Amino acid sequence: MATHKEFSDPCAAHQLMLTRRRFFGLSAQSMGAGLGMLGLQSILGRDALAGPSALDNSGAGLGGPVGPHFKPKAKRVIYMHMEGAPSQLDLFDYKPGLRARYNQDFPESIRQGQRLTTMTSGQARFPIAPSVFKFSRYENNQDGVWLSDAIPHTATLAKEMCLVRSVHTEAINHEPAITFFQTGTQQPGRASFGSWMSYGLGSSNANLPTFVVMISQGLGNMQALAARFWGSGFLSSEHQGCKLRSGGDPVLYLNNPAGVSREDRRRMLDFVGELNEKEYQRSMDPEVRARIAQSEMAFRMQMSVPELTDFSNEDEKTLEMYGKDVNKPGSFASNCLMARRLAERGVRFIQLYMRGWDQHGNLPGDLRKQTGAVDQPQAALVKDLKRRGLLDDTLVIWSGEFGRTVYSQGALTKTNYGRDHHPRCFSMWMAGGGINPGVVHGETDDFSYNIVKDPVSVHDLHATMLHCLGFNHERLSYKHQGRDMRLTDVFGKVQKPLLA
Amino acid sequence: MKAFSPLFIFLLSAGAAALLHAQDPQPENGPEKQLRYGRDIRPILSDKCFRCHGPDPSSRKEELRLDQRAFAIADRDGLFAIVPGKPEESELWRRVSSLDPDEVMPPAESHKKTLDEVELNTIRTWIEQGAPYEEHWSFSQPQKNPLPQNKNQTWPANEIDHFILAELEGVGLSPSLKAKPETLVRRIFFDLTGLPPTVEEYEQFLADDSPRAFENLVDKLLTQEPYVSRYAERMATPWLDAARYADTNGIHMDAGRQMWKWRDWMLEAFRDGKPYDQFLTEQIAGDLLPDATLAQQVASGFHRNHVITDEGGAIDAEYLVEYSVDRVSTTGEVFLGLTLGCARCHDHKFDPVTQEDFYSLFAYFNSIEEKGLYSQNQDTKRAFIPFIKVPSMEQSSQLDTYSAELSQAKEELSIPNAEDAKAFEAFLSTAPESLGVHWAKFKTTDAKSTMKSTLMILEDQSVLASGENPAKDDHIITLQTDETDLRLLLFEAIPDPSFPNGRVGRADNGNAVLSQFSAEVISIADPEKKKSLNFTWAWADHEQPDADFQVVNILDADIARGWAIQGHQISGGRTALLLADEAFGYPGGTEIRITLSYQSIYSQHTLGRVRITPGVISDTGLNALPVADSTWYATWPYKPKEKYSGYEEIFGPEADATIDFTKKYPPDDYSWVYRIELKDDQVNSVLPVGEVVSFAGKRLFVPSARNLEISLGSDDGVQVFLDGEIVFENRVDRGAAADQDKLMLTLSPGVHTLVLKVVNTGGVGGYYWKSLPPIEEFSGNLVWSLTPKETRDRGANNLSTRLSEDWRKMHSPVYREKVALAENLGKEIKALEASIPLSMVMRERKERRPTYVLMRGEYDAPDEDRPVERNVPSALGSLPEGAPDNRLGLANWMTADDNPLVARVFVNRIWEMVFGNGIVATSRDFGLQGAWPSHPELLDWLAVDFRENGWDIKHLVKQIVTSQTYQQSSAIRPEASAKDAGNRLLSSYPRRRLGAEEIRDQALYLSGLLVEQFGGPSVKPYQPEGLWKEVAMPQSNTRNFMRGNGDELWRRSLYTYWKRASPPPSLLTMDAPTREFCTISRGITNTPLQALVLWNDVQFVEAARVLAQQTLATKNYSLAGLFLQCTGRRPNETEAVRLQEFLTAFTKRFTELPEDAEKLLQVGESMLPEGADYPVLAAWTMLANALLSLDEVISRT
Repeated sequence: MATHKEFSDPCAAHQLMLTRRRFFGLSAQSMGAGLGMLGLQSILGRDALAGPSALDNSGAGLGGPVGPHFKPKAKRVIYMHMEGAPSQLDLFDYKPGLRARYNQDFPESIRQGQRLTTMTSGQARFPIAPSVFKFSRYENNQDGVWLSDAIPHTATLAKEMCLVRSVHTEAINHEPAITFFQTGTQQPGRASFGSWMSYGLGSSNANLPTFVVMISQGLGNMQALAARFWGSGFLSSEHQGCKLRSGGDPVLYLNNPAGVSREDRRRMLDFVGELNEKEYQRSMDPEVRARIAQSEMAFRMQMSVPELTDFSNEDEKTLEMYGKDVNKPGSFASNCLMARRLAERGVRFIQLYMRGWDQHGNLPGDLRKQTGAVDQPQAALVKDLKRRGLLDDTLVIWSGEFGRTVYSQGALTKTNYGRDHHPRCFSMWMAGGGINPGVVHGETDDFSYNIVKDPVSVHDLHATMLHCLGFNHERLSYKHQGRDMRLTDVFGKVQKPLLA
Repeated sequence: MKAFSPLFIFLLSAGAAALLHAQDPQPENGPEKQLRYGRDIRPILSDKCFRCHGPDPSSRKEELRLDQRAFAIADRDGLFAIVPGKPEESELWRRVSSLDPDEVMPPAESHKKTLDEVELNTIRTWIEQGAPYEEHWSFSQPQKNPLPQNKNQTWPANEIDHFILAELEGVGLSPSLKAKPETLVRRIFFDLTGLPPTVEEYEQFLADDSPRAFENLVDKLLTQEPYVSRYAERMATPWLDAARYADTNGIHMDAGRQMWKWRDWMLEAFRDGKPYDQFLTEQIAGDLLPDATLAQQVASGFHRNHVITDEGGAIDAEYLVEYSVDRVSTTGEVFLGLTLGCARCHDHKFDPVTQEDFYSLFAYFNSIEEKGLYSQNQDTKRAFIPFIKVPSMEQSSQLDTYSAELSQAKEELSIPNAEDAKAFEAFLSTAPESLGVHWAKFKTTDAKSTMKSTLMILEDQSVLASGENPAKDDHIITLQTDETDLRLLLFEAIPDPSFPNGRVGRADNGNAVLSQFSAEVISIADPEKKKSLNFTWAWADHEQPDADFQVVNILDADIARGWAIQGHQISGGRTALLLADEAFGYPGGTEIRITLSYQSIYSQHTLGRVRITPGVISDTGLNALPVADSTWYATWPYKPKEKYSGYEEIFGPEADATIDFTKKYPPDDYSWVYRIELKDDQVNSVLPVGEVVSFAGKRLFVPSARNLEISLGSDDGVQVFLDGEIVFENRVDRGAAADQDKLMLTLSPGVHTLVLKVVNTGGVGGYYWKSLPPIEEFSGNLVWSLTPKETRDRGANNLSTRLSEDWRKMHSPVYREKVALAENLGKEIKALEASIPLSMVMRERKERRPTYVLMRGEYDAPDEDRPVERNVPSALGSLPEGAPDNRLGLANWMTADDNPLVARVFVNRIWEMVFGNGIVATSRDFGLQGAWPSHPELLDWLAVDFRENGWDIKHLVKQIVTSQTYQQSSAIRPEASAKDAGNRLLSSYPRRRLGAEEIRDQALYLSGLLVEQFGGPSVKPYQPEGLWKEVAMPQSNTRNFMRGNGDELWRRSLYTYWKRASPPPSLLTMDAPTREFCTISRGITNTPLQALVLWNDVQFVEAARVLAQQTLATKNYSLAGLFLQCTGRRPNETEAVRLQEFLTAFTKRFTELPEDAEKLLQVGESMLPEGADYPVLAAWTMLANALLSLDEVISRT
């Protein structure tokens, strides 16, 4: 009955419920979880956020995270998005039979009237382009997996990764497809996956943002990114992703102006804190206390972020693992190492974007450039997490926003071709927390055009990922426009075979 | 939850009723208080039951509906869902309270949680009370009920207070004391102008002891300048969010758009007090008003503010649907307080809006002259169709003057001159001979398509295409001739009645794009002898002007660039001349095999009837042919290491002998791109600003060796490279103008690459280029004197007339003078027109698109059995008698007296703006899932009163802010918050943080930096480097952020350029939305990143520095004075001590390390006063930085 004591004590109720956002946040939960202990525990019992004020962690005023529905396997996510859509045919979905069909017309019976982008819809014929890449067999926990020689390092993860060859999406163009992958719908306006995590799990580091985004510029044809891909949509804006940048301030406005030292800032903060505390005494507005706490966190971030981005305490061997670009800020290698460091520090959602996979032409050359940049670092990341015992509770995701066509866009030669967008099937992999290691899931037809076994929709993936994080995707919701909004909208099914 | 104890229920029913309305707190209602269906019951039923037992028949289970009482209490084979007064006999109660998992409702598979104790208790009590239903409050017309009676008769100042006080008294609370005058004056200044008062304004108010002092101040702020303009700027911000206004398209290239005229229209509407019914009507249907003014058309741009796409592969039809869906949803949220979006895919689960209703509204918005997929273009000031030009008064009258002068000049030109005419005829008859031009006899012997079009040879030797018209095609045409020493090919495209509109192109619109022209020649006598022809020069009678469509593009294999002939807009034939680099033709006859490639991205853009004639030209002729050129291409910006080092550094583009569009130059991987703005004979001033190097380049096609004189200008210095070799340079600091330098290019025959390297050492950049060929040259249209008369007469754009004009320009001085005059006027008109702002508007298509219900809301799944007509949702009334069947009719319905929603929704939003929360907390949703109003009668009273007062927004605002309710202190009283959780009853003024724009504007204003200018194009103040680039496409025209200069840095925040993919970062941190969709109310968060903005963002540090400067420059300045300026109050004793300590400590610190002071003071572009005491100024800067981040300074208190 402690709960009721809390509520019947006006001061406690005041502390807990007064601010508008706190109030709404609380009531949203109490509607869901009832007025039982669960709701309150999740308000009060968030992990690891100590601070000078009782209110500090929720300083943002949302009443704290929802908390998981059941014991999670993963506590955090590292999500590598390959923007532009890497070709499944040249990396993961081995189709040796296509070699015999070089330059043959793609059978209409397979295409089944699938809509085409307007980039190839005017094309006179659709010649089949077998992959120029060699594939080799690697041992996994089933009967082995065939992977492309463009990703030799990633291939050594065969026993760790769960390769899904049967993902499908609804969109055929980058913008809507990425929006769909990140937010569960093609139209702008919903909350991104990372924001849901921030809302659902809250922070586990008092000195760093909960949801961090890093961008690597690609080597090939780059598509646009937009703030909405890591936006919080209808969720409170505190849940939006915070970009960790490779140039200038790593976090926007992090560094003091020239001539202002850390001691100066401390002195100013003491002064401001004191005056703010007086303002609190006058106004009794808990937001003032929250602001004091948030400023203290900002001050701590000014220390913790530079420490985070300073690789000097990494040993040579580790740096070597990630490859030659590891000390080049903004490179995928550097961002992979940063991802591990963020994971170590308890950041919940680490989103990496690698741009430049949109290979409509010159695919063999451009793909090799891109894989050259990502292959070693991403494999190193998984191995590094593993040897530090972090892989067990880190969900690692690697995917593009759709797949690519088996037929060539533009001219086809023995050594060169391009591939258009293909939403009906593509490959992605996951590893770590809660994921079934060393397995291959799903199958496509001889042309990697249609799925013939175990289709997995993007909603299914979201549901499955949320499951790893301890959430029933149908219950992690937020009331907006009179609806209980979910990452999975009204769809999604947890894919049991993908789970450990 | 299943095992709740009786004690628990007791506790709940006794004491926890207040918690019951946790989401929408109400005064504590004891158990005796009557429950209300709409407030207490329906939210539970709606959340838990209506999904299967509600209004949507398709998902209804067991034929049971609980949303209407008649069904709920009906006898269902002896079972009753509800027996009024008897919960134990009610199946509803039995099922929701059941502990049996197979019985309990809602069932597990619904994924709805079962009812909790509070909800159960409420349902039970309600059934006991007889289970009364009521109509949803917001769907019936608001009424002005008598004012409630209050115990305290003295407190209320106006009607609002009666309602507020009645609720407070109902829970035993008294209102808070009146706020201190200094608090009040700061509050009202922020609420009405978005800026704080000055110290003088404080004092003025404090000195006015008349009882009407506050009202007088309100009147002044709402009616007098400069306040009333500031009021408009303050009111505009939430409306910009609601209208999803931005300066870029949002998707893919996130291209820039011109839309600020709409923003300015809205500002003026607020400033001038446009009544809300007109405000609404003009935004929904301004274009449809009788004799719509320019301003009314601009207003209709409200529904063009949504995101649009230019993503290459996107499907037009899909996005057309998305745009109209956005309009329906936005209309719902902004004006009706309804979340209509749900009904796109299915009947609304909660509100009485069916899928048909949705598409009936959709039908108002889906017949606009718009595109789904827009083209890409480098022009950031583009508007996307439909749009209008919006000239100012001065621009209009200037334009009229110029146009009158031009038509007079043209008239004079058209007066024939017999002498000229004779001389011209003589010229024509001798021209071919004088240049040794002779057209060969030939026969077209074969014509084939590589695809499936049918090619037929006509008698005049032309080739006619018919039958299929494939998306892409190659036509191979074979000629035979006995002549030799050939150099020329005359290419004619001939109109034919069998093509669309009798044009030359076969595409539906009559246009065509030739992507490549190639030919080989074969000896008929000895077929072993053959060669490919290499064409190095081409000339056309017309090129489509809106992109890189020049005829020289057909000479190479690059199919991305071709010759477009603008057949969709211009009739007549087309003519081109091509020159081979060496003579061809074999003795004994030659076969010429020509391939016309139509491989561009423009589907079916083929030419339908062509004839190709070989020809001979003498060396004299070659010398008389003008140099042809490509369009200009550009690549920039490149950063030199130092200001002047750009002249020495090699960046790449200058060293290459060709313009290779696929090549990427380090460090940023820039490539050559086409830029439409760059032209010969004008000062091209779009080059990047600052210390940067830019390249502009083009290809030259030279018929014979010659020298070509060039007139040049540049900003600043320039180097000219020909085929990778430097041929000219001028290292100079200057602004660009015409004719600053002369240079002579020595050209060999063939194709050359010319690259201008412009080294900008600061400020704007630009260049000027004009070639000055000798007068004897057959430049311009004189070339056509070499072709047969029949060809000329058929040529595009009155070719013969153009030829005669060009000749007269060349050879008749009087004529030349007049032409120059007309040309100048033309240029003036063009420049003026280019400076006229554009604005995107709504404009109806001539033919209405049929509308069907879209199955699952999908664009490609119209349900042809369910066509719909334009209409309003039937549950919300019907269209007024005689309302037009268009958006104007829709607006008439919205503003009609009996519309239940529109006035309430707007009044509520103004209330929300003033108090942070609406009377309906869910200000975007007045539907069944929305929150119950905290003061329903007040809302209704205000809504009716608003309408009765002519929808006068200022009246409404004044009413609210002159209430006692508004003037209460914000100090929280613990005893009040227990009874007024969340301050929903307004027992005090709701203290809260300022909005993003207000925080920045305040800092600029206090420091004196703010530049107040009402309206105008958006500006680009400080922002960290690289933000745009890291997310943008390489080709995006909003990839490179070019910071504004001077005043642009310090305008009010609502004028900040809004790039949707990367919105202004500090505003975003302070909770501004991305503006990709309608946002009705912003949240307010409190995060560490916000502290960092206030501490370190250049614009805040600079404001602190300038605030410190201003303070130190004032007579009798003091710490207390600065404190007063920032907070609106004088510091108390302890604060005064701390201020002094702070200043002393920092003065000491900066005196010890003056170089730190100097570094700090360098921040920002504004002037640093000469002779300032740096350590002192730095200390004051730190103090100002601290004060500007104080909670009370960034809050409304």
